[in-house]
Amino acid sequence: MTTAPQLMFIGAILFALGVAGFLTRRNLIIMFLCTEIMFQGILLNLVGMGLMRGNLQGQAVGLFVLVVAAVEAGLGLAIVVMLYRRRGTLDAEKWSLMRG
Amino acid sequence: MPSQTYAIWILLAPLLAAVLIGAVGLRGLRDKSHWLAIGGVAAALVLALMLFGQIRAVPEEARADIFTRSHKIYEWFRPGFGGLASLKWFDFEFRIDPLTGVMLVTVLSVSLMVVIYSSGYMRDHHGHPERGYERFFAFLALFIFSMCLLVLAGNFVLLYVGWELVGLCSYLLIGFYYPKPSAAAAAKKAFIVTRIGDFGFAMGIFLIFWRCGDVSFAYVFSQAGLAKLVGWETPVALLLFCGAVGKSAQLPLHTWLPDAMEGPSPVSALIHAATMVTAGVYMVARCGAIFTESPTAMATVASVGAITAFFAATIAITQFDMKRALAYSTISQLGYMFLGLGVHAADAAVFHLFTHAFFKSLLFLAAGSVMHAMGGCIDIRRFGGLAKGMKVTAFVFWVGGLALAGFPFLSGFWSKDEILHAALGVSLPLAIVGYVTALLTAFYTFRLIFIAFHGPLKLPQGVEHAHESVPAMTIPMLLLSIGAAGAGYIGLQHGGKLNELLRTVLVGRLEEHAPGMAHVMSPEAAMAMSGVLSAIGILSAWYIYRRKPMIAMAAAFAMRGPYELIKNKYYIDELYDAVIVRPLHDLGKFCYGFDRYFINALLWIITAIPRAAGFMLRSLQQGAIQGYAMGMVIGLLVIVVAVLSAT
Amino acid sequence: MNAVAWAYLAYGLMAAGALGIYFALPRGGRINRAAALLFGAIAAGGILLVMYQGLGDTARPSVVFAVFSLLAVGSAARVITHRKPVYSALYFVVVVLATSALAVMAGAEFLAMALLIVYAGAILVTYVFVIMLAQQSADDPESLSMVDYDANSREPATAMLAGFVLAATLSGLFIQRKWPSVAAIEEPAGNTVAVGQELLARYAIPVELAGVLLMVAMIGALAIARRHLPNDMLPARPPELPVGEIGKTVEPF
Repeated sequence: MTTAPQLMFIGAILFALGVAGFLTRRNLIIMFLCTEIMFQGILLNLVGMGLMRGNLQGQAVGLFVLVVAAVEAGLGLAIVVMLYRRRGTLDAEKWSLMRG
Repeated sequence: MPSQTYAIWILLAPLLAAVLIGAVGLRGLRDKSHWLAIGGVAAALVLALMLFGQIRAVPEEARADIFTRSHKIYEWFRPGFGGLASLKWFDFEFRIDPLTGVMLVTVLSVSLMVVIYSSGYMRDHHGHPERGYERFFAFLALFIFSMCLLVLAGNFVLLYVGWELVGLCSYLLIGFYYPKPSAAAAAKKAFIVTRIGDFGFAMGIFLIFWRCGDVSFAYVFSQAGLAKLVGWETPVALLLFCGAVGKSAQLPLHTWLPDAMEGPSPVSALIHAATMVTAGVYMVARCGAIFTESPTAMATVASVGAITAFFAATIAITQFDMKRALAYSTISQLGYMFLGLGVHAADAAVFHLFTHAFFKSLLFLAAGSVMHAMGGCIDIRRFGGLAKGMKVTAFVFWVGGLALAGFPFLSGFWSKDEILHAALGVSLPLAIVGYVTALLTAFYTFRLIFIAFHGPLKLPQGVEHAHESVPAMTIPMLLLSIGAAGAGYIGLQHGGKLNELLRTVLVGRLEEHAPGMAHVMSPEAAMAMSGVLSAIGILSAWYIYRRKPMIAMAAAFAMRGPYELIKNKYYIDELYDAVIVRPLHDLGKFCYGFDRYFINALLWIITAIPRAAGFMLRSLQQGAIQGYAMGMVIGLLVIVVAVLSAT
Repeated sequence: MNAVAWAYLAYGLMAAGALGIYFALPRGGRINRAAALLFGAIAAGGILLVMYQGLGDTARPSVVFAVFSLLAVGSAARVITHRKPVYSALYFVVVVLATSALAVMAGAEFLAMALLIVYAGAILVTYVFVIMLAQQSADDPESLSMVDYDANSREPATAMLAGFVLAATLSGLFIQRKWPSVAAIEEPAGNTVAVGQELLARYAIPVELAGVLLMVAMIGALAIARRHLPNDMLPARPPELPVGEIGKTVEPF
């Protein structure tokens, strides 16, 4: 018997919190932090699934999630810096060039 | 060395020169470009002379055989249509016989002179090359390659390739001074008008291919090939003749040639007098086996030639632009050649082609020399008495003029006389037209000479004195004048080597086709008559333009109507403009309007639907990141629910 | 209690959590602290209840596990509700720490360490750097008060509704499930060795690809954040076209 369901439950809640934050915060940096929270939720889920299947694949894939998160943070923050430099604000709503 | 090896190198030498000049002309060569061109053409000429030396007259019993011979280089392509490839390959093949040899020697010897002349002509008085100097020589060398390909071609398709290539080079060189609107327009006109003829030519080739299943001369002109064309000779011959009419500037497609004088004078001399325009004559002579089968076609060729000869000669009398007058003279002389072809005297026609190439290119080069000295002015009303300042030019112009006028014992005399004598044997009216034209020819030629070179010295504004051209120009002219004077002796009537050679490949001797009419007049009497007519023309020109200049004005005034008609070239350009160009232009404008207003309106209505939809839907696109993220979350929920309900 | 009842209980708890965060979100720089705490407490209790009773016949987690779970969820809630980005980032560190602790308890020690080093060590430092870069300078009087985009949330009600529906759907999934019983993972030489063998045996090529990905991202980040901007992107845009108004001036007909 393991605590896999509990891990996955907490992971789900973290993911939902990340989504809600992403939808409602306007600061670009906070929005990126929210995506990182979603990654945490996914990580917990992967660990839980691995436990449930009785092998280490969950943990291994979790490391790849870590890689993707690092890449996303690096590129995303670079973009944030560039956007900030261009317009002097971090407000996501100031960037709406595709508005119809 | 086998014949085809000569042929290949004759082609490659000018082609290599053209490519090299084109590749390195702008950097490195520049004002030395002419050396490559001269080298290439000289090499080709030497090879052509060696090849010509190898060609022997074919004995009588082997003549059927020569038509089935060709020099295949490689298999070129296999035509196929409708999923069916014909079994026959089209070869890249050469036809090497006396006709080819004569044409090659003519083309290359005139070309060499013209290329050397150009190296002096295409410079200003300080010896600096004109803009586009290397381009000029690249095009010239390319033209020479194309012309050699045309005369060496061993089948109709290859002939057509050469035919179009020379047309292209003609276009490029007429438009050499392309910033000048008249030159650009003349180039376009030359290209489009000859294309009308080429359309007929192509149709003729299609017809031959459809009937015979092959386009090789070796097959088409053989007994088997001709047998398949039975019943179709007249349409085939007339369609082929269409191409000749366009290329050789016969009525009614002659209008491009006078305008083509917008090109540099060496181009006029080489392409629009000596070589390319004679391609039509060459082609009809080459296809003599088909033409002689159709009396209708022969009559058409002869009539078109005679009428054009007369018609162009009358225009030439009234022109004040020296090069234009010479251009009409060229049209007229080409008419003679077609007359010769049409009266079963193909050897005489080719002989005239040969001599004409020398004296007409000489005249054009001399005219170019005058133009060069007069600072680009070519209107004979604005200068006169140049003989004192430009002795060499005047001399060679005299030689060329005498040859053109058919003055006894110069080259034009022999060849023209042969044609006229043959015409006498076939049709009296055509012969009379020919003799009248001979008179006119002598008259208009010496009209030019007496106005431009004799009388009191008169110079256009801005030119202080008439000075002779540089040796690079005068030496080729002098060499050509030797040809213009003496070329006739190579092919002296009845027993001359050239004619003997030609006769072996040219189908249709007068004696075979009109045996009864061969001798209306003895050859000697005919000769005497053309000599006398030529002398009358020269003397009357001398009398009218040197002794009593008032006569010309009075005549022009007394016959204002006809004079104006002729001076304006019978208003043919205007007629074409009104009948063909304007309606086409209006049709084009109508189509444009239709497209602009009707089709566009239709499209506007159709595109209004997506535009209206976009107008309504675009409010959904807020452009904010979180709006899109919300869409993604909703999509995620839909997927989760779908997966849940599925398990 | 049967599964359906547990599910409805879970939905209710999620709704309470959503409401708590709704009240905790800054509105004009203020938050409704009392309501937020109340609903937050309800939600926390609910989470504990579900964890201990609602997930079927599984092992009961230890107290430490429950504490770290609540710490993770609570810190995450603070990350998304805090008005100041620096504090958000620091709370995120707490989330990472709590997650690592949970991972350790699940036997994933290597992953937990990697999480700590990479996230709490590297990524978070980057975030803090960027936050510092992006702060208004102290000389700017506007920076003394809170900037608008931190003080006001965007459509909090809709966002919370979406988050609630997501969380409710997912937790419903957990509650109604029959969990299989699986033997524990055998790791004779320890977790790190086992994960290493797993990575280099089964996932050798993905590991290489991940390396390439990191490399590409590094170059990309350098390229994006260069100081020299292309000319056409510089502020010389026409003033008569306000941002977000492009295309609106064009009439469709």
